[in-house]
Amino acid sequence: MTEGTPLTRVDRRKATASQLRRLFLRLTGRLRRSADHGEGDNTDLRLDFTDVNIARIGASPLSDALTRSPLPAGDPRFIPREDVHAAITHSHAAWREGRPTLIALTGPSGCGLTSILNQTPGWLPADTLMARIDLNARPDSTEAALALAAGAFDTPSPFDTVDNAASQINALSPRVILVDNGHFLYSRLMGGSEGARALHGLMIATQGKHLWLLACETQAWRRQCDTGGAHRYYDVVIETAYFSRDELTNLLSTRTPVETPPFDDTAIDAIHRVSRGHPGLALFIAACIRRANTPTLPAPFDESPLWALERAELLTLAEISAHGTLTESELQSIFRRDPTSTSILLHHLHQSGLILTAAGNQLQPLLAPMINAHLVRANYLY
Amino acid sequence: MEDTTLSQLLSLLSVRHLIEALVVVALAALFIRGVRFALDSLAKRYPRARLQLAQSYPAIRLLVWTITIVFIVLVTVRPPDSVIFAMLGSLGLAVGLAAQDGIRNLIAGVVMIFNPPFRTGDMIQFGGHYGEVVRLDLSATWLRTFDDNTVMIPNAEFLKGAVANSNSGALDEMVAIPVDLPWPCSVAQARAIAADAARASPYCYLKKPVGVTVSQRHEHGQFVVRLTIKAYVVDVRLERIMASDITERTLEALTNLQPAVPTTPAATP
Repeated sequence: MTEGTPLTRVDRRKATASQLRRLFLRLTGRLRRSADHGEGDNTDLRLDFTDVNIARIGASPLSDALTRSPLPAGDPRFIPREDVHAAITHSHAAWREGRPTLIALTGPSGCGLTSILNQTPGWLPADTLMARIDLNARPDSTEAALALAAGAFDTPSPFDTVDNAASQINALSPRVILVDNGHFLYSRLMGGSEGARALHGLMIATQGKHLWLLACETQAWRRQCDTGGAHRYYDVVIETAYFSRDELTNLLSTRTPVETPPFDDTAIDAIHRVSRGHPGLALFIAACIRRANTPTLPAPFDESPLWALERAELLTLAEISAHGTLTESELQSIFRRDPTSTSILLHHLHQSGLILTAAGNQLQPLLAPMINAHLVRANYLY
Repeated sequence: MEDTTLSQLLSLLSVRHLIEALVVVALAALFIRGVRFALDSLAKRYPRARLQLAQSYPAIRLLVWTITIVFIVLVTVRPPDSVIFAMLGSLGLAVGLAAQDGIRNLIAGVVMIFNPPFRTGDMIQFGGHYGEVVRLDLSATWLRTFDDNTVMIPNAEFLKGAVANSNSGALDEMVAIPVDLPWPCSVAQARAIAADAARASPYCYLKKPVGVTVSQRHEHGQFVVRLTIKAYVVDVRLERIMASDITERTLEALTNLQPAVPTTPAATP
């Protein structure tokens, strides 16, 4: 609906009827892309998965707004997460007093875990020694996991066993070790959890000396808890979420160019409701609103592509969501499918705007809040 | 006295009463169809709640028909007390005399609504049939087997024999998958592979534990080690797919270890 234009009684009646019609169509699963677009100036900004997908792959200037690039340490655009900050500093203080500590920082896909991890050194005392492991693939063997650890601690020679690695790491001066992209520690491939077991074993064996902080997407963390009982070994689990309305207001104000007028409360409410607090999506919607010729408010996402998926596609999407990212060959192994049928299936998911291919041919769910909610509702994700 | 009651009864059977009763019955039937459609739509929309939605239908249907009958008798026809008592007496006599299969099944259906051994959507084993309960009528229960056969079982039968219910209202259920290995073999290695194969299956519900038990058998003149993989399937409808998937993964992984761990597929119990 157009902002700022007074509505007549007929307009209000039409708007109510339109909303009821959309509600009915949505409840019966018959809402189709563009089927309930309004006409003329009273048009809601209706987006679907494909719009976002096209923007993501760079065919639109909106792709800048959607960037998922994590914010570096001290970036003024970082939106403070007071509860996470407090939990990390408190756990760090306890560790300094001698309490062995393993911390897991969990949150839904795209909520900004890496940005939080980047800010962490700035929250700790200046004399704290830091180390970091950035996972960018699944460590599928003990050797791979030990090589990652050796790289993080700059040891002159590679570790040969977990026990040797633990004794050498324990001989080093105490430090805080940040592990990013913890979703790579979950694998459903046969024999694929060996590397994760080795790394977790190393963390447990050295937690008396060092403080480990693992950042992991919620779905992958849940699977690690279900299959490996990870929650029993981590002393502190900090759960973060998508942005609250206030945090989203801060985000929009920090990312809005100075010369453009700020969003009013109604617009922020609508952006928060539609994006479900997902920062990247909120920025994308904000950019779409700015680009529109007439003032518009976003309507709920058209989720009809999700309802059109078949069981095999839903299962595939569920595994991609649970792992955070998966390669095509990993998917072939998980589902024991041949390359051709896997490609056809993934092509359909791509075309529907539900997944994208990131660096390293890693497949990711595009709009995690909507996709995960749908998969949970359909009993494919838990 | 009997003549008076009979004449009162005949006077009640007017065309107007019949039409009103038919209209009420038609409306009730239409309402039940509407409820069925709404429940089916909701089940499609919210698959996670499909069992609960399906389970509510038999109770709703019984309630609606009870209300309909009471409404027709007490509001539409409004017979005098003497006719009501006479009809109740006749009905009691009919039930008493003709407590044959139909009535017995109906009574069993009502008993099963209030004390259900299973609900719609459950996977049950009864009388040599194993399948999903797809429909619970007052007189019969309908199962759909994994061969896509529909089996109708009179409700009275369920009150006589034992019924095995695999999931009891939950979407997940435990599936036991046997794999036989000729003795001697590396049991610990095979057990680890079997557990890993179960966890690797995308149909396995990982919130519940995966277990592998080992037992020894003597078949066809030789000793075999039977591994029974016990894993939960994420949805009862995927039970056979998961069993096949896990068996395939296990056999393939064990075959790669040959000759240390030779394998033989187990006979289906």
